[in-house]
Amino acid sequence: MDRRSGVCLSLYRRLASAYPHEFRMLYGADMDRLGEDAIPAVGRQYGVWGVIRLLADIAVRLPAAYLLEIRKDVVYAVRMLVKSPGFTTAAVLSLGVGIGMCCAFLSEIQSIVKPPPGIRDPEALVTIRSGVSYPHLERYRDQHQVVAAATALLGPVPLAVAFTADRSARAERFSGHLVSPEYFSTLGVTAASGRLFSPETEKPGMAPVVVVSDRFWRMQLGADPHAVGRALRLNGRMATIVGIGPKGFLGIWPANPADLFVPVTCGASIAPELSGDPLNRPDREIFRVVLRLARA
Amino acid sequence: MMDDTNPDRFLPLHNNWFHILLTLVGNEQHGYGIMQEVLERTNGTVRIWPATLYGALQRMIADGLIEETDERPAPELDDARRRYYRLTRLGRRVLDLECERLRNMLRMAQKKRRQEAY
Repeated sequence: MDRRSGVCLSLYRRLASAYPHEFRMLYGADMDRLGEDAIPAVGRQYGVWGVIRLLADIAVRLPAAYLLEIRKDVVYAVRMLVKSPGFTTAAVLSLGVGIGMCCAFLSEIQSIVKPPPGIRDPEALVTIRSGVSYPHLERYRDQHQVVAAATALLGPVPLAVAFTADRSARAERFSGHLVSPEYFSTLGVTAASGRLFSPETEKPGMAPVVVVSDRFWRMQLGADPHAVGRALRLNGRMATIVGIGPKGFLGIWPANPADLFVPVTCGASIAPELSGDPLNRPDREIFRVVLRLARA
Repeated sequence: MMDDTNPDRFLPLHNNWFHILLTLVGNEQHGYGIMQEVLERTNGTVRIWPATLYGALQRMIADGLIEETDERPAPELDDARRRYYRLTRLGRRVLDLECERLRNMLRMAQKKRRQEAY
């Protein structure tokens, strides 16, 4: 056997050895033996293109051989399952429950562990477990060596939303967060449309405003391109949509998603949770604080 | 339910299967022998490549058209790695029916040509 036939035979054996185990058990040795006879003969008769054609035939039929094996296995498995309906029912139920539980568990874990979408450098954010009063927020903010920015929020809070100015219009309930004006800048969130809150624009006594999530904009406002500037009735009071959040952003805690973000400066007329002037009372430790740590 | 032993279900027979069955009429043969005999009988017009051949053999054994035989040639002519195949009764029946079918088709074609000649 010449060198070229030797190389081709080696290639042939490699390809043949890739066939499914069961096929190899039955025909492997015979197929190898056939290659020893066929490759020199084909080379003599058809030249190099004949040998390439022979090798191509093995390579092309390889996936089909595996599919055939899989088909046989599937048919066998189905037959066995049909023969034992009790076992099949138990297996399907346990698999279904198991997969469902795993999906739910992983989904929950992801919502807790995975950083919410739309937030810049989420690893630099920390939160304080216990409730904090709004006046104390200033103390955190003043720690410039440690804290780059700080925000407070209250929520989730239920907000009754009507889409028309008509007072008799039916309202739907949505979850919202009452946030300090620095909320979006602390999280590093940018608006998909319109503007977000800032200490310069959100001051007590100003007309109520709201930022809606991308989800709310798509599902409740029909992705209206002119949504910014529209008014919603929130808990009975008109509030203007000033911005739309980035896609996927539902607040800092995905486990408690929010579709509406209302500045705490809007007062108790929109959010009864803000009654009793909690913004100026150090004893009302009802806010959750999120801090962005300073670099280095 | 489909009858596995009904020869009609294999008709019309795949070209490669026809040649393999025809090769095994009256004698056992190994893979390379089948490949060579088909090539010679068809004057080189039909070549069943190795993977195609073994794929077909596998299916034909599963369908009961051929079977492996333990009868082997004399030791000096044999190679232990080779496997020999032979026709089963069902395979023979299928081949006969296919030949009959082809004969009928040829007869029809010839009749038509004769009519055209008049």
